[in-house]
Amino acid sequence: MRYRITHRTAYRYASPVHESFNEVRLQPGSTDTQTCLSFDLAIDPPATIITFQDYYGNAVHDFGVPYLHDHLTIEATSDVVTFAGAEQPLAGPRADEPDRSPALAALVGDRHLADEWAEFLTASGYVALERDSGELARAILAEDAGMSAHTFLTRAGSYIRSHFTYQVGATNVRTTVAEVIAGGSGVCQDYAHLLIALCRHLGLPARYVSGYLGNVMESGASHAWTEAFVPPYGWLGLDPTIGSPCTGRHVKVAIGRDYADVSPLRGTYRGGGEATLDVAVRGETLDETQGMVIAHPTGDEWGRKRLIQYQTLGTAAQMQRLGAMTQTLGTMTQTLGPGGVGQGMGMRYQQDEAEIPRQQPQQQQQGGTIAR
Amino acid sequence: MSTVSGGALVGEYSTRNYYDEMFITGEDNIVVPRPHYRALYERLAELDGGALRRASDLANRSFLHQGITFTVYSDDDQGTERIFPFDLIPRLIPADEWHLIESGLRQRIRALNMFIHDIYHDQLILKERVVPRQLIVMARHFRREVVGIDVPHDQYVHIVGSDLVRDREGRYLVLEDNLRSPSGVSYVLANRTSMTRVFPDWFTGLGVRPVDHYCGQLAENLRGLSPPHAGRRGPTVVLLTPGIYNSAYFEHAFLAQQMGIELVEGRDLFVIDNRVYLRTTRGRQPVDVIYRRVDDEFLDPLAFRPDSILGVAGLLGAVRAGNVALANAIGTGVADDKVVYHYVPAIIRYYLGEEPILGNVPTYLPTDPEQREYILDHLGELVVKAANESGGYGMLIGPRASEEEIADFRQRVIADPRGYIAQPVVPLSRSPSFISDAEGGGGRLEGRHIDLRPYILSGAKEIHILPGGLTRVALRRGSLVVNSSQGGGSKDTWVLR
Amino acid sequence: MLSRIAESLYWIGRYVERAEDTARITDVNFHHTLEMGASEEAQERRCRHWESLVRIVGDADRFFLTHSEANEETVPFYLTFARDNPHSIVSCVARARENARTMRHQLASEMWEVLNRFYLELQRRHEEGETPEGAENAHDFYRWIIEYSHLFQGITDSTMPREEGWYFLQAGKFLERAEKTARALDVKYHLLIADSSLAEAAELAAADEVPRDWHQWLAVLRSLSAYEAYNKLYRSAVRPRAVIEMLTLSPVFPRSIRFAIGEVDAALTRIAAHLPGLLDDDGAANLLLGRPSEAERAVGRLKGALTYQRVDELFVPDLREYLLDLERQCYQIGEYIEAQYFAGRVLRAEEVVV
Repeated sequence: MRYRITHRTAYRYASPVHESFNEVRLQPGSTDTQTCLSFDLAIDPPATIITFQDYYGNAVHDFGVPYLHDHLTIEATSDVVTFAGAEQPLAGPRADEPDRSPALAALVGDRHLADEWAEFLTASGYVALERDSGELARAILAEDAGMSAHTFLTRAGSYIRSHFTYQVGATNVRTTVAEVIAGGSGVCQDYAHLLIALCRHLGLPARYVSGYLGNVMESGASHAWTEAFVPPYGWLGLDPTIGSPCTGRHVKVAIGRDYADVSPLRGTYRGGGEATLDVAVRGETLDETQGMVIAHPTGDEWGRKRLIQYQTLGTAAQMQRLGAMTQTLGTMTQTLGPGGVGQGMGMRYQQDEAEIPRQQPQQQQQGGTIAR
Repeated sequence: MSTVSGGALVGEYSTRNYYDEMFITGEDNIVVPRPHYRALYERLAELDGGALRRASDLANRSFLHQGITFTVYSDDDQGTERIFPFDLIPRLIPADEWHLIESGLRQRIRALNMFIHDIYHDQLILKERVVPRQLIVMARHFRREVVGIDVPHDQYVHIVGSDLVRDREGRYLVLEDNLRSPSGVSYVLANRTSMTRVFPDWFTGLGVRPVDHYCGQLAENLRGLSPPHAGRRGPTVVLLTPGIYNSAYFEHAFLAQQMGIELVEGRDLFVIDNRVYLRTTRGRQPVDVIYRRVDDEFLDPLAFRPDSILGVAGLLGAVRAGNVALANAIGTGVADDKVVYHYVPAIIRYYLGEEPILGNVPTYLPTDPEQREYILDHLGELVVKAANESGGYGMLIGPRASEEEIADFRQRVIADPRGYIAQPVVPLSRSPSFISDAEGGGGRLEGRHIDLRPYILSGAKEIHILPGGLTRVALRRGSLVVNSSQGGGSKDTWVLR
Repeated sequence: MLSRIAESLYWIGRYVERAEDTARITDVNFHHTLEMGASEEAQERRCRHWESLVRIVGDADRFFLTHSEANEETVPFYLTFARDNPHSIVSCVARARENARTMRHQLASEMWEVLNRFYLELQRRHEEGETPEGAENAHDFYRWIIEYSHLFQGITDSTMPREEGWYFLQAGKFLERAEKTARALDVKYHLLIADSSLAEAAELAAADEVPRDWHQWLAVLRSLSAYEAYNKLYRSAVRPRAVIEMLTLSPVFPRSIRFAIGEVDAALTRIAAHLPGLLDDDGAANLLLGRPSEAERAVGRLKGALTYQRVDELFVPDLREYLLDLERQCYQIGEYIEAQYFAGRVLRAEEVVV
């Protein structure tokens, strides 16, 4: 599928602030499941933007507004092609294929896996790995002790979908897994954290993905889901909010141990006064034809991408300093991915009206106000 | 018979059980001073307890008056200023021993610097599984935020204060590497000043190497880190301190003053377009190099702890852009991890293809099931340390611990095997120290356990090791803990030509 | 010089002066209320007086959060020892000391020591219950505070190099003094209002003859150590108009508003003279064109007004308005100084060329 996503974040400050420093993770990556054709970031008031890649390979844009200002607007527009249809899983076994993943129980003793994905197997800030989530994970596994890793991931995802109540406002940007279990409700961010916890408890590497549902037209926030490392497939996305594997609708922006690593915006500023935040995410479907056809890489490319997938995180994250400073007046345009892919496609602006939950709020914040 | 006789001061000095720095048991069990201590011993023999007592009081008082103190805070906001007690009897290191220490430290620092660079770039050592990747990425001081960022001359470590100890055979062993921001060098300089005032004649003929070029060398090294854009204006170097409530604040102020650089707090700095500036009454002044005495996590609220008010928002951006250099670079703490310490000999072999010159204290890792078993069975004999603490905190000394403490640590080790290591108790060497009588104006020499913290300045071209260092001494009888917070004192360290 | 250091010095100057001035004002009010007698009606008047004092010197809203009545016990305590009052003498001394602490290595040790002792002694007196009870004790007590302030000024004067930092200290001290002298007059004026109608008060304040309450005016002079100077300069009995003229417009009396503002002006001029090495593009342009900073402008204007004003103009429309305006101007000058030189300095968009 091909989508244009516009993600607009607007802050208004009751009294002017200054020395505002921000880091945004809003640029969809080009991975083996998607390609970002173009990305545009507009900041108002104007600021110099620096781009770099973080440890997990996410594209980060960093900018500061040192002088007094009473508003801050960040608008990111991306054009992304995902390599699957709207209802087609992006990776993993298809419905008609046998599940080739090993028994989950067999993964625990895999020292190689433990070493390779250490940070996705242990507790992190939001994912504490406490007793409650451990018991829940073991209860799901108990249905069938020989359950494959893939089956566990799917079952755990649908378990969350069916046993928790999706409720905006029940939780906040700092809610932990234990609190979600206790409260029985949450938003996509909480669901993703919970699913991560369930996987990690049983030795299945799991990470947090921030992104969009490309077909959701209007929303007040971006989306989030989980990926787990299921051999031999590699990282498989599962959206616990929907309760099923990620499809061509899922546009991936950033990955990390949990929300803290991928928050779309983090920043600090000086000055007093309340800040009001308004987030608007808009998705447009640019082409309803099967994305697979358009963007399916050639055999060569495919092979290369597979290779990337199986390389260690360390290599994937081998970063050069992307120090190219672009002095602009508030906007910076970057074109990424193979330039030719998007050419010659009929641009049809059709909205998908399938019955899918509205884009779910992944909460956003510009924390750490340092008031003088 | 292993006591020294002769001289009121030395009295019944015992050299039993430990390596003694000054004395050696020679033929017929007669205890005599080691050759390099002979001259000092003769001078000491001329004095009585009263004279040493007076000199000792004088020296310690002068520390207080000069404000060479550290501050201990309690409930009231007052804060008590204490001096780090100074013991007048110097610790001597002969040239050949020092040569060994120097070459050992040089080797170690070179390897560790390469290790840190590798960890934040290609991670070859992890890929080749010399060091388990898991241990590194789970280390508390591994800073994933600086992976891929280049630092000037690929140098991460600029100032090091390794802790060395000597075992029963007198072998020097490295106990900790201290690659973050080691403190204490101001005491080295103050101790020397004090000694030359109180007993100038003790130095005569011994060939004691001077230490007073430290600040000059440090300033030169720091200037050398400046990015080229400083140009004609010349580099601006500042010392970043957490502020007056930091226990090492005196040292920060002292070093800044000695180097003639500005002592700044986080709020004195700000960043525009990835350049760091000082806020001055004349407007903003660009900063090129920051000698920071603030921990990584507090340096930049944007990149690290958002609640930090000690740092500068956007600082990491300036580092990434190569517009400012930090000493030490961000992320060196990963090699300070006591679990990583265990791998240092392997690290030296891996990068340098050499055998380590200085040994490690044997270290057991609870992450290894067999070693964990051993640790849990021998808690009463081992020292258990938290992997990421320093200053004698988070530590269990098995032979001195109560049963409750041992039980507590057992739970901790089981709960968090990555968070702890265990080592056998090192029988630290002893050095004669002046112990005042509880009453009266006298005192005598008794053996007290010591360690040694040399200060290493690692520049772009050369590694300078200050010929001297801080000899810390556990002034409490029998104590093995030399930290200032726990009854430790210090001695002047004389490296001989 | 680092903005933070300049700011600390400026505030040390202000806080020490503030402690001294609060001591002076509280002291004179003690004297004044003492003479009211013991009748019930007198007690009521006394309370009104204390209330107006707390309104002018302190922060009445904050005061009434924790106190139900303003009287000769609650107000002096509040102005002297209350930790929750940021303007109390003990708070001022504590803050001055705290500021000195952060830059101790740059101060003469005597300067730090005197502030440290001042604070510790104040605390000791408080803990040992040496509260200013009764005018007799109070007078001694507040004298003691004033003397300590003088000790600090003296040590500063004889140890501090006359560089940028010194001028920031002076700017703080004299700006505070100008403002507090205005407030001291304000207190007296409010006492008048408390005892009579507004119109009468205005008339009484402008009187050019010896009034019924001459001893109160005398007390005002005494509180500002101005009585001898008044005698010397005016060679007459105490007349309100003359007292007000001297405390406001005298070019020679060191606690007059004009004198203090003149010192602030001088200090800021010297600070600006230290600036040729200016690095800000924006500031460099201003300097080149001889443009004064906003702070210099505001102080210069006020100094001009005080220099050329006739005493009659102080009473149009009335003294209260005049004093209020002065206080506002002092406040504004403080804001400008902060914005121009200190750590809280906020960049303007045009200073940052993007």
